Amino acid sequence: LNTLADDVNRNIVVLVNDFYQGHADAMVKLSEILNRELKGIVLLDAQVMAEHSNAPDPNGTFEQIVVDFSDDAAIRAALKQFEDKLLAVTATADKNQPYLQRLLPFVPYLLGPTESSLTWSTHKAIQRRFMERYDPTLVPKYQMIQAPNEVEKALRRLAFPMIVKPTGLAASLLVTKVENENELRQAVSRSFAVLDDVYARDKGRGKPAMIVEEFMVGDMYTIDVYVNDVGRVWTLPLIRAHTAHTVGREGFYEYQADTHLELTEEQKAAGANAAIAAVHAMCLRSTMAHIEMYLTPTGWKIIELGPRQGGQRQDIYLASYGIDVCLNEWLLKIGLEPQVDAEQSSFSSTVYLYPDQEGVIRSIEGVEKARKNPSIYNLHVHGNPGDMALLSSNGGKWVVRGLLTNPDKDQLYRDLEAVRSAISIKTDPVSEVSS
Amino acid sequence: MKDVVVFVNAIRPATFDALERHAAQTGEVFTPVVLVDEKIQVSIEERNGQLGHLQSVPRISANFDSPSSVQQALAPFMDRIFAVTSQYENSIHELRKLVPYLPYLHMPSESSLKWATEKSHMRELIGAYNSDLVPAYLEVQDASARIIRAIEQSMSYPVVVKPSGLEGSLLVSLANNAGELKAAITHTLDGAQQAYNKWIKRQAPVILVEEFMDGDMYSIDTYVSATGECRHTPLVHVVTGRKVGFDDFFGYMRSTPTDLPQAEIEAANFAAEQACHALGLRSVTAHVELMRTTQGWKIIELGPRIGGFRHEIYSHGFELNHIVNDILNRGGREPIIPEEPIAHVAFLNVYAREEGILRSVDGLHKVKKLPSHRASKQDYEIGELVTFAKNNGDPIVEALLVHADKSQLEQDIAATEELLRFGVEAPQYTR
Repeated sequence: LNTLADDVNRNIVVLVNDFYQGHADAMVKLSEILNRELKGIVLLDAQVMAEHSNAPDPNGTFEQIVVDFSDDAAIRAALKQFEDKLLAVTATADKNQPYLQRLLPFVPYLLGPTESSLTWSTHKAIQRRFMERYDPTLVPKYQMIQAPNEVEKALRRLAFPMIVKPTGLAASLLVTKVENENELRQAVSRSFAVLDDVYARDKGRGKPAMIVEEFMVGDMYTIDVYVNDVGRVWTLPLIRAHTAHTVGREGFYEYQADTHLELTEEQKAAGANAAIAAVHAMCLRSTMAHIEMYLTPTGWKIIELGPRQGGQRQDIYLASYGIDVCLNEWLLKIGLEPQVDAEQSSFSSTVYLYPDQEGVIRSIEGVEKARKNPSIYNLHVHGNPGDMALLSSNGGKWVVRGLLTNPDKDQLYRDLEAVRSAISIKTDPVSEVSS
Repeated sequence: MKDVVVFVNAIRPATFDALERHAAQTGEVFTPVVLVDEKIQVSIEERNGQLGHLQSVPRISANFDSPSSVQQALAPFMDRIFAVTSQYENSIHELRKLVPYLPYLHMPSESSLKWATEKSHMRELIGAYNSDLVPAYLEVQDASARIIRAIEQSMSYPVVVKPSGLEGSLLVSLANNAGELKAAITHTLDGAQQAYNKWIKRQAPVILVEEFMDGDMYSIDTYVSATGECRHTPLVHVVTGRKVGFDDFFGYMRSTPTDLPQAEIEAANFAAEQACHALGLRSVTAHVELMRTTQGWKIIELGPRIGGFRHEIYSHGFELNHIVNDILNRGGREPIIPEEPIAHVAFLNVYAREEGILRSVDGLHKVKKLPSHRASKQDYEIGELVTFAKNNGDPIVEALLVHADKSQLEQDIAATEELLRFGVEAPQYTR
């Protein structure tokens, strides 16, 4: 096992493009564990900076260094000044994985995944192929389509209902359920019409394409795992996820995720094993993986995997189990074992809010009132009046997102309902705004 | 038990003895397996001299462009793999393809293998790391007046023209003025594709023009660990063809130990280490060619594999088991590098003074009787066309000379040069 923990000269941790407070807080804890002061750097691509599409560090705790990631010599020269001090590097979101992939060969003595495994694990069709080969029972039947006129391929191979989704985007963007041929053709046609734009906005991985797969009947869960440089996998507790679709709303975004489970120990163990198989199938190492799964009548199936931690998982695991996901990630990246054993001390649920109707945001009301709810852990607003708000199935992103936690499960769910009721996102149809 | 060593595409014949020697000395037995890309299996077995020992080692073929084929081929011994190595430059391409399927073994990154097999990438990254290590260079696509002007604006004559993806000084030419430069670029462009085919190179040919470095040439093989520690083999002095009167850059003679002072050796090692780090290499052996110039050590080029004949040279000169060290290092263990020489070694590549049809080879039987003679090989048959390295040719005779007494070795080198005589007839071209 490689470990850089004992090299006292190495004191710099690097985030790629996006700053994340969880990693900054965890760096402080890691400093205490290693008994030396650590410094954080955000290595930011020049083009990403020009587009303002990164999450900046609001307090300037991490030094920002701008590099042209398309220029090998520029990366080489930029890193040379502190290469002997580098301790660990990571990237938070799927959109940043191609940048991490570019960076990794320039920091060969840090722990990280192979370049190809990042390509494979950020592309849903390749994921399916690899997992199917590893264990055919892990995945549903699927068909990749690269243009609207390839719908026939899916019609020949698959049975309805089906799910239509992009191959290289995350967060359930442009994901649609279809019940018949007409709906399939419409969904594919509608998605391809905006696909290039959404890929460009969200830095989609690979060539824009869609995947169609047979709909899985069952309950959705997620799990975040750590795999080290020799393939050992540590799994965090499963989380029950509810998509908007399952609660009768439009889209497949994560409407709510709960730490409360009604699973047997055997089911939990089987779920963890399916996640481990998925990680090994993708040949991942020295990384976290966020895995979405279905528990179906025929066992656990993998929906998809991302080579990074899941959204809000830092907060949800910390609030309910005292597990610091980011600290564990730093530990993993320096060759130490993540600390995953913990008792559940509280129940937690995430909440994602979209407008009921697409359009231009007129007002976002009730946020401050919701923040006073005793179960609130955090509540973030993404968007302002005047911004365009689309449904997730049309490539839109959440407007309000938060986490609630409470030792009393019933109180948590009452508070969850109260928060949802308190917040109102009002939109005006685009046509009215234009006129 | 981790005992399997995977050799990508081909295995050097000396490997079998090297593994036996290691087993006898340490009791550790490695099991060699050759994993070859089925698309190039026939050509690689012929080009890399595999036909003489096809039955000596299990050979498994797979389609390296098919994940299922590769994973199926690796499956039977996946849990037993200690290390994966490529002993030949023309097999690095396939090693790179294997890397992501073996994530829990010590392996170099895919990009570093690409960078380290293309001189243009090499120059760019080493230059970005430390510009003192490399000469001025330009990548060129043709010999147009515009290109010649651009070269003249960025460097001064003499300049060297070379293909970016070939080793061994193949198609390397010197140019002293614009006329020679234009002719050299045209010549290299014309011959590059043929040479890439001959040496089984899959990348598209790219031509480099760089400022000529005047000095003495040396090489080091450096074991780069998974965490970047560099352990260096002793320096080998390389006498190029130009130094002995050929208009060619091939390595005429390689000899060790050198008589360089310790400070110079350390400076050379440091230059090699910087080159390895600049290219992000890890878990490989790097064969580094350097020039000792009046401005310090410069990197000529680097390959992510053991150098040609270095196992034989180091075995006889230092009792250093280079092939096994390469395996140990790739498997995450420390190589064993004896520092004290036990003999003086010279390896000669002997070319004819003219190109043409080989009609006779005289004196080789007398060379074999010299006190220093250990091994020799005639690479061409009578009647075959022999050409210089700059025209994509191989040496006619290779000879390994070893002696504990340096003066005896020097006498035998001179005798070899004197005794070997080649009859070469100008080729007759007919319409």
